[in-house]
Amino acid sequence: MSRKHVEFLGPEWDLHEVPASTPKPDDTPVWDGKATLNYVGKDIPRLDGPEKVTGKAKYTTDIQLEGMLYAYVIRSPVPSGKIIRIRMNEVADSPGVKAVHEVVTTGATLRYEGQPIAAIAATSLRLAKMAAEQVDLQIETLPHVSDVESAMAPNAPLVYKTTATAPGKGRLPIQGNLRGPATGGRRFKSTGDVTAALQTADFVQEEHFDTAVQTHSCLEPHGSVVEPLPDGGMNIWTSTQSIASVVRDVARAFEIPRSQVRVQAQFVGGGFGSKFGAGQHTIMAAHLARKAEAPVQLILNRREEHLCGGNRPSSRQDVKMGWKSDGTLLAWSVISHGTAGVGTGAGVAAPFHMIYTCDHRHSLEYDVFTNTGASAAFRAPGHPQGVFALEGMVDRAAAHLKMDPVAIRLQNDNHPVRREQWNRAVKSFDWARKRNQLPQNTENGIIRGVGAASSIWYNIMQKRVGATVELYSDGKVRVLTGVQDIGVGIRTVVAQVTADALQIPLDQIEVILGDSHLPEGPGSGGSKTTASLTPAIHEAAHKVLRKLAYIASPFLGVHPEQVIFENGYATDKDKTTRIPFLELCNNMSFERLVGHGERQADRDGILQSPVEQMAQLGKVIAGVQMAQVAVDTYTGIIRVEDVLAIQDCGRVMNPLQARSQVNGGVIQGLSYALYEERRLDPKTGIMLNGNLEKYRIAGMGDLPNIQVQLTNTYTGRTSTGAMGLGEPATVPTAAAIRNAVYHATGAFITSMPMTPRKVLAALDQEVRP
Amino acid sequence: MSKFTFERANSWVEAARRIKENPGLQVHAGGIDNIDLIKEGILPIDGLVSLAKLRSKKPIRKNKKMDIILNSMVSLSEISNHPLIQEKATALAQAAGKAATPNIRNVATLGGNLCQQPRCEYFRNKLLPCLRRGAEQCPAIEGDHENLAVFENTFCAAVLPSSLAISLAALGAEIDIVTGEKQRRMIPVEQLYRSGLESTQTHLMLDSGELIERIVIPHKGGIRSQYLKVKPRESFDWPIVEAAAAVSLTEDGRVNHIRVVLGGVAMLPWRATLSEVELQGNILNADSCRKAAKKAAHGATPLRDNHYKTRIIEGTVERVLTALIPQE
Repeated sequence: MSRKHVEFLGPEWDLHEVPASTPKPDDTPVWDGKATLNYVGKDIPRLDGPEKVTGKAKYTTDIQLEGMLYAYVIRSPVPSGKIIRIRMNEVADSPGVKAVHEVVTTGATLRYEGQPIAAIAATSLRLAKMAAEQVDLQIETLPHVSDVESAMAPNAPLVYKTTATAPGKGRLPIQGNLRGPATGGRRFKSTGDVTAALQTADFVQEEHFDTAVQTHSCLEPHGSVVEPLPDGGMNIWTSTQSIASVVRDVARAFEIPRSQVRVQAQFVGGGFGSKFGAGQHTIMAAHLARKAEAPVQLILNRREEHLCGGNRPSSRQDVKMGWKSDGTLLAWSVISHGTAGVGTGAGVAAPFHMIYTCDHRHSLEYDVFTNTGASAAFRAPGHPQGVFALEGMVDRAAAHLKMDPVAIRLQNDNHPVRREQWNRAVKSFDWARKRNQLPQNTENGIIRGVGAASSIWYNIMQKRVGATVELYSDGKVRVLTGVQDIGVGIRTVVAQVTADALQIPLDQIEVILGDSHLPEGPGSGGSKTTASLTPAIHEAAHKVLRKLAYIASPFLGVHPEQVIFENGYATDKDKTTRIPFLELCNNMSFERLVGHGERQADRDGILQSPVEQMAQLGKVIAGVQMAQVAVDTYTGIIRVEDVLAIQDCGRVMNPLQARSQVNGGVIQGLSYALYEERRLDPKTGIMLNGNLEKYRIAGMGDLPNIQVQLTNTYTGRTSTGAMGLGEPATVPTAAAIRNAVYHATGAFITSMPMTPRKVLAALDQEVRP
Repeated sequence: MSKFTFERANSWVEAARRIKENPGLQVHAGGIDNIDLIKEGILPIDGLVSLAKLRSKKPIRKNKKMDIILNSMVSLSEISNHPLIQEKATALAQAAGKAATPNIRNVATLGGNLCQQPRCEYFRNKLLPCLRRGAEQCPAIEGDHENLAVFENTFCAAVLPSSLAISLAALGAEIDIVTGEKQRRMIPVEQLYRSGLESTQTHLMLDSGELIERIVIPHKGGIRSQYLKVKPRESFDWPIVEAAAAVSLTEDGRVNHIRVVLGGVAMLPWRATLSEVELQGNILNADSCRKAAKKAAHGATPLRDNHYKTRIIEGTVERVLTALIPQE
């Protein structure tokens, strides 16, 4: 009698029996919604916490090697120019100088302030800088464009004189400084007939939104230490989100085999998308190290971080949206222009396409080249700015219809998890009472209100990344994986998964990571580290168990395939005899058992669910946030008092760390909403606030009371069911804050950051709905 | 940063003389602003003369006339935590307690706070021109001036960075200046500064080698004061507008003495004279405070992008005055 195998999948409040093929002993077990686990899903404090708070943790800036040199980079002091003369050789003999490297040569075009021109390595940073001041360098300043409007003006100076030199050429048309339009993306495309649908709409609303450039401002700057090796290879310590990408870039740049490049990153002080690839700083350090035949440290200073460390592009969004009088979204169009500086990637349309069900959708996305540093992926690229506009339009429509903002969202959103999240948010936040009462009390010029917005992200993963699990004869376990922990806590999650897969205590497990000599780990971007790596860890650990079955087999008197592991014991299906795990280890006739796991393609899992809507769970990550603000009508200052964040990330692997990551997402979103803005002098294009004094980031005094709720969903698409969290947590915060200000004051703010000047201007124009 | 010498002065006169004789020397008090400027290459120097030894043992005291005497080497946190200041010069304690960060307040000195250079982003960046560093005109006036001056901003739009000067001006404080020739002079705190109406490179009305040794807050009976800082962030930030007010009332509750001073709006402590006049002789209540506040921004000449500041001035003055209404 063979019972059909099923898995319990779905959101934790709505589990469904989904048919699945019967697993064989070698198959890594799938943790479904009814799996009992000892560590996964529990609040486990991060394993490296003590190292971090005691300063024992070594970041790239802490790496000190014997004879190490310090590099200083000569950078373009103008946003646009041409090198008339550069003579580096004359400073090669300056005091302390051991190597010089020219990045560009005479005649080269300079396209942004901060663009590297040359680098100098010396025995101290001071000597390197002093030598840099002596370099015979002559630059002709050329006309520049530093904002979207002037870059699009007729006869504007061109950032790229010919399209042949422009980035992203070929894929989209480039005319002048304008690249695009893109009408679709990887997951969406424009569809339907928006023009016709808008004619049938009961009402149509139109708004223009704009958002500023935000810089990543990681606590740890970009930087590398490069040690040249006699065989032509290199040892590199670097602050990176992807060790493998640094290996790849350096090997390519120096035409050496990847095996000769070793990259290490034990601890990384944040990346937010800006730390992929070797980066110019690593390549420059490597050139200097090779020339000097000595290790070279190159760390960006804070101004360089702002200028060259990447940024979130600006956006200007023109949105038109048509609705039926019952609150059904009929059609919309969005045209966006944004500047990613000399780079590309300013699109914002994804959340428009992906959050609400709508048959008539039209998006045109343009990149506008300007003479500013290139953007980099930044925590949910395009999404916080797109959601700022989209969710504003929804609140505009709700106000027009005198509908509750949550009700109008439920009307148009069919994601089963987000729908439940809205229901929970309404209760937890006391939404209805606050909507009705808060704005009625003005005290000393201060008005309060609440607002909400939706989040979205996608189930992204990287195949073939892996891990090795080694079980020693004393029962200790080492997990080896080349992943980097960028501060979020993958080190701890790896240990949790291993402990549960082997059914042994967590303290038996040591995690070794952050080194390209280990099995290749995933890059930490796209919110994919946990989703990519944990199934591989689980597989590696399971392989170790199956090998251990061969040791258990003679003791139990059954075939190895019939050995079952349960609660730290080996047994068989009759459970007459059981042998403790440690005893089996002690019986190894060799030092260790090794299992290697790799990330395979996703299983169908929940996609096979009979409930059609469930398919979304395996593809799209849902979240909602609500915010309460106090608006000072005397000064235009917004204080955020409370934020409720309800977030899906598949199976919650470690709620303690997950809450911490959501806190970070909310704080970064708040900071983006209210403060952060790269400001350039309108005349010279030089950055005005290239520091952390005038480039404002939310501090402790600005933080609201943040309440985080995590909604477990079990997709069965991998053996662990983990999905992404880092990006969706920051997507809706700014929009929720703006919507709360709208509720409080009736002033609808369409521009970020929401500075006192903009708030006061909006209050003056306020027409209460 | 280039090489420089470092010496410790044994007396104020010695320090003043050394600097007068060597124009390449600068004083080193708390080491907050000057060191930044040296690092950025904004302040070229040959050396520093440390005033560390000149800190008096009792940097905050009263004289026989009950005036409060502050040694200029007193730290901002000492000022903000001192019971005498909290009681008799409340606005000063509040301004000191709101300045910068706790770490900076522990080392930054009163003298350094009064003399620090503008925080204007044009002044602080060598890649940009600035009137105070020799350019023909102020680029901020046509450029980014959202948070710059709205009064007397014809030649320079920077604002005075010293919050303590704002409160001291409201309290009618005087500055005791010493020279290398053992001469002294006392000036009211607002006379320490030149406004943006003057096209000069320094905003300080100090001659070479003149040092601020003491600050005197003259005793006036019945004076109460309040200070309010409006800043974008609650965490460390510079003000958009700040205001200090000091008031004494007659026995029948009428305004006897009043001073209302604004910061963040001009290169000097800006007296809101019309607000003072409005209140003089009147009962201090919500209504009169609001009326007076409406006149605080009178005479402002905002630039293209900082008109919003005048509104914040009115709101801030209303609040700082309201805080001084006697509680029943």
